[in-house]
Amino acid sequence: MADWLTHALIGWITGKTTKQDIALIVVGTLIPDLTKINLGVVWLGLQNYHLFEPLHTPVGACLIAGVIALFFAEPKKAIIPLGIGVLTHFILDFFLIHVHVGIPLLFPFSWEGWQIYLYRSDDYLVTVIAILVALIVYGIYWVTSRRKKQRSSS
Amino acid sequence: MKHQRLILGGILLLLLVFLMLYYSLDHNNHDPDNQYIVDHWEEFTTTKVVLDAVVHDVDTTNNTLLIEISPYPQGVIQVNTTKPLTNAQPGDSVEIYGTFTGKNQMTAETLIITEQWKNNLIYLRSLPAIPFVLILFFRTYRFNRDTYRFERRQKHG
Repeated sequence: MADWLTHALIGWITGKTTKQDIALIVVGTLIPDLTKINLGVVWLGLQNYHLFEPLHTPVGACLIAGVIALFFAEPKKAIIPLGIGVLTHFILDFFLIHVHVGIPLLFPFSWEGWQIYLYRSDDYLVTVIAILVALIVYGIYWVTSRRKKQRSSS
Repeated sequence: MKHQRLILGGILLLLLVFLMLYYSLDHNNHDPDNQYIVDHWEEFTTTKVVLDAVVHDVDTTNNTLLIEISPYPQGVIQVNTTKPLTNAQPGDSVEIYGTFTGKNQMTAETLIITEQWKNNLIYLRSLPAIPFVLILFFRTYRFNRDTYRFERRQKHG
């Protein structure tokens, strides 16, 4: 897995540049990693039935996104940024190096996993790059909004 | 409208429960877990499997690894490989793809070793994301306890 900070920053960058609901995109980026509840199950010494593994599949993550969207005034509007967040999560994880196979993108219709081996999950350079890009995007928007304010005040 | 939401939420949760149960009951036929692999190692003498484990000891002379499959008390498994093990240390995480040659013995075709500190760093790097997401979300939305819905805060409206 890529770390949560990288996922959240990629979601923030996506939201900022596409002018979507940043808060919901960022929440969406972490939905597939709810599967990490499994770690808590193991840590508590309980029998791990791998019940939460399907949350790290597109169908499972979208079902969770759907449930979350129902807690908003306009669920149809909320599901889109949540879905974008989920999508960025899988795009980022799709390029992780594993010894074999990858994410079962079509589960429950197929168990076959897909992956393009590009970077390792322990490669912190990816996080550094995400932080730098986020800072650049933040800087560009900060300068742009300042110029707009100056123009409107003059 | 409220009932519509409840029904839709119920359907989505039901689908999710079915999905989770299906995975839990059938995953060993497609993507077996460590416990199943170790218990049924005879099935994997010809079929290659993936094991996630922790390095227990490294023998660079014979190019073998002793791995622990935590948290299961299965003892250690000896892994033979042709891949270089010079940087492997006890405590490192290892992902192995290979076949079993006997009880608690396997040959790795491919393996990825992650140094312990780098593995811990993944979790450490994840921690700042929690306040980041919470602050970002609750700056934009607030929870209305009367309607049980998140509403946009005025300045973001």
